[in-house]
Amino acid sequence: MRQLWQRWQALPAVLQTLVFALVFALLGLGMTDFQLSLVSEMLIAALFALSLNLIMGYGGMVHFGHAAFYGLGGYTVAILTLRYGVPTWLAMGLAPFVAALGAVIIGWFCVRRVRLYFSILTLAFGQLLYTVVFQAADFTGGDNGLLGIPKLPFINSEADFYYFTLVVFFVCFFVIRLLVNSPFVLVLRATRENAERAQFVGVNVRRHQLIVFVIGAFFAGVSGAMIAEHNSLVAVDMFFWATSSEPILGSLLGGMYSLVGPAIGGALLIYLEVTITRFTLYWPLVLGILTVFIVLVAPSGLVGLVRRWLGQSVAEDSA
Amino acid sequence: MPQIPIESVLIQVLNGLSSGMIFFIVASGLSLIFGVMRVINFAHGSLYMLGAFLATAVGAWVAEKNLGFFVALLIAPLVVAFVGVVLEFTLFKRIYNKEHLLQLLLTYGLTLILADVVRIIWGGEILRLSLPEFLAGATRIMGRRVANYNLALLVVGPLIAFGLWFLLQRTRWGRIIRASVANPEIVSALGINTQWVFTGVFALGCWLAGLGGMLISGRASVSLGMDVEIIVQAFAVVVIGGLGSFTGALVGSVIIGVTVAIGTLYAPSTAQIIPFAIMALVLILRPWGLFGKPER
Amino acid sequence: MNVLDVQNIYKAFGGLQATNNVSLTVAKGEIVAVIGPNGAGKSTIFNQISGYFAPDEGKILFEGRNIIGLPPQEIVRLGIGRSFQRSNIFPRLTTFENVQTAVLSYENKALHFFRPTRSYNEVNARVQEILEAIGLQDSASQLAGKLSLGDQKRLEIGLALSMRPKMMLLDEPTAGMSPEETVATVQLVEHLAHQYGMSLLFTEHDMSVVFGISQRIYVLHQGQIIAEGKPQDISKNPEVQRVYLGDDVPHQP
Repeated sequence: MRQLWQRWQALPAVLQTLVFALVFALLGLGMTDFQLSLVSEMLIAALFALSLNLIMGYGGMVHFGHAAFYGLGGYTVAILTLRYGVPTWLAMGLAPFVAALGAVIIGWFCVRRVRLYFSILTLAFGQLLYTVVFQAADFTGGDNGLLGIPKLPFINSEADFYYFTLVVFFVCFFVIRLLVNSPFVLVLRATRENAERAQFVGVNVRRHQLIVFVIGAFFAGVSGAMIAEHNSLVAVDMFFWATSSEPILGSLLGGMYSLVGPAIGGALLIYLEVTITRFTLYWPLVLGILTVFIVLVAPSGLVGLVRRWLGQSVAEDSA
Repeated sequence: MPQIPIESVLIQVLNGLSSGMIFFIVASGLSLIFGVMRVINFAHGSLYMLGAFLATAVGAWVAEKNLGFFVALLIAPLVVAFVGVVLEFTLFKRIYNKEHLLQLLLTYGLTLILADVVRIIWGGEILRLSLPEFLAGATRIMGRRVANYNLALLVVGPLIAFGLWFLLQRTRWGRIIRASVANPEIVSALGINTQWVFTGVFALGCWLAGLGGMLISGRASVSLGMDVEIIVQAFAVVVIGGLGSFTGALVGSVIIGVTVAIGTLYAPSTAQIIPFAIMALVLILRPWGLFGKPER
Repeated sequence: MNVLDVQNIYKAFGGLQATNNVSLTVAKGEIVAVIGPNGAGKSTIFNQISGYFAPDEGKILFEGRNIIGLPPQEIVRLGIGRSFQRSNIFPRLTTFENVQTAVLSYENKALHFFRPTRSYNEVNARVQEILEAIGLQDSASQLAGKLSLGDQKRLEIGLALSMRPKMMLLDEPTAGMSPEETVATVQLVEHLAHQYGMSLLFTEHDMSVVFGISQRIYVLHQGQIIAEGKPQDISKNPEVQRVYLGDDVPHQP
């Protein structure tokens, strides 16, 4: 088992990613429409969690307002297509950049303070956006959201959307993987471990934190745009703080100190949600108990448990 | 901008001050717990909500409205404090030495749990605590009616502030707390059991959250979702005033209460944005808050 | 010419005058110690030189340039490396990654986003070289937080070295070390200073270290410099003996 693992790790990144993508592509052939739709949503949630974990896991910044950028991504698609008649593909292409721009502004305020304050500020600014979107009903549809986002021209079935999602997900995953192994993220991890010392080896800590905040927002924007297209609608809930909790808990469940952990956790949460809400309305309660349990018992998540089993160091967090 | 008579503005300042008093009570609890334990309790808003729901339940149970209010005032915050102590003993104690990331996530999980617990017990109902007659009425000030309850809050707020000041500055327990804030090692070296200081502070902080919730239930309807609303307000207060500072909590609360109340007169739909705008301004001009100290 | 020239700096915290009209100089290649009892204000001076906070008054010139007001990351880049009293490293990064971070930062590669760190051959060769210089090449893949205290302090010196400093500030480099570790560390520091032609400014409580390697000593008491001179003069200075060595010295009747 361990040998197999080592051989797998020796493969080039492109090959690893392709193998994953191929497995999903083959699986897609045998899935029902419901399953295709569910797995698409799981992949989108996985990307959302990955985007957050760049900030939380690698940057050590607990970000309670990530929904803002997910929402910005989704609403960019909805507003551009429905209000301005922009083609869907263009709107979806612009969405991540709008999210990133929002993150430059919000992030500039949030990284002015460290640690606990950062978390407080992200929550507050996230709720600010929620309030604004909720109130500006003439433009955003307020509580009703916006319905009827046009489909991309090449998407005529659940299967089409599934394969489109696969491509988007794995391209993003590959880019995030490159990032994680780059000097940028190594230095980011150093700022997480010891921001003061990082300064004394010449790192501009705030700038580093702001950049990862914006990169994370970019990918959150991608996932927001994807979910808007998947559902053909956006709702103001996309901005709500509870939405921010999903990638946090996904990352925690899967394992913050790893590349794939958050993706697994984020996807798993969607699956659990779909399954559990069939039996009970109290999904947040289940989430809450799960969170407390993981924090107290297995703070490095599922990947941490697997690593312990494989006899690796638990805190290792490069890919 | 609409023309609004000066009397209305002044009355609205009074109303805003009374909201500010509730913000202060909640935010001071948050700040107190942070000051001693260096933990930001996200579940603080949930405890406030719990206090509000408990108050309406106690009020309904006593049924006699003159008495019900005071029984609720006595019982609801105490029950919340007790819940806090139980949480401290079972959960928080385990994470004081862990990284702040895990602390935040734990209290975040508690927020989810408590929100659903309240939903399970009380459902989605919208409740309100009945007031005793002398508080239910209104008094004419400058020809306009001001709810007696709001005037009462203007008395209660400063009383609580004075009580906390007295407790922290003039009692032995307060001296121990202040010493723990400054230097936890020294306190344990003196042979004082810090565990009990922590538990006591936590209970007091939660009691304040419960009190805030109880007080709001006599003024506004109580419903799910008020937990997040208050925690965001309380965060704005501590960012503006500076975490860990009582004066800061008081000033921040008053600023937010009053500006939102006046903003509501002029532009009701955008008034909710005011706290964020002030917060952003403070962050630009004085990032560590009006009364906070720059952290290192 | 003096590498470092601190001129009449003052720093107060609340009512406490932590630094009171302090002036000191370090020449190129010189090894200078600052000694004084606990609370004399040694770390405060280091913090001001390294940009942790600015003095209330006075000048700090590094190679003739006033560095007051620059943030730490820029002062480091000018060539003032620093190690800390408590070991101050990146605990959940490997020893190699610790030094790699510093070297990447020094070479302005911290904002490279897509190339794998392992493909930076020159950077990694330099990391290896530094690890060998501080004798930690065998612990390269260990998590730094799991190293012994002595090794963590060596690693700290390694982090400072990565910035190719012209001068190093060492705050109690041997604090908490066993006698063997202390000797090894002192030899390392002295050796590195000679090898790279660095100036050293250090604080130290262990007098054998201070008198063993320093060429000049400043004595600090209650935020003020009360004496300055060569080790042999300092050890004979009666005022130094009174305030600093205190009870260790028998009082004259």
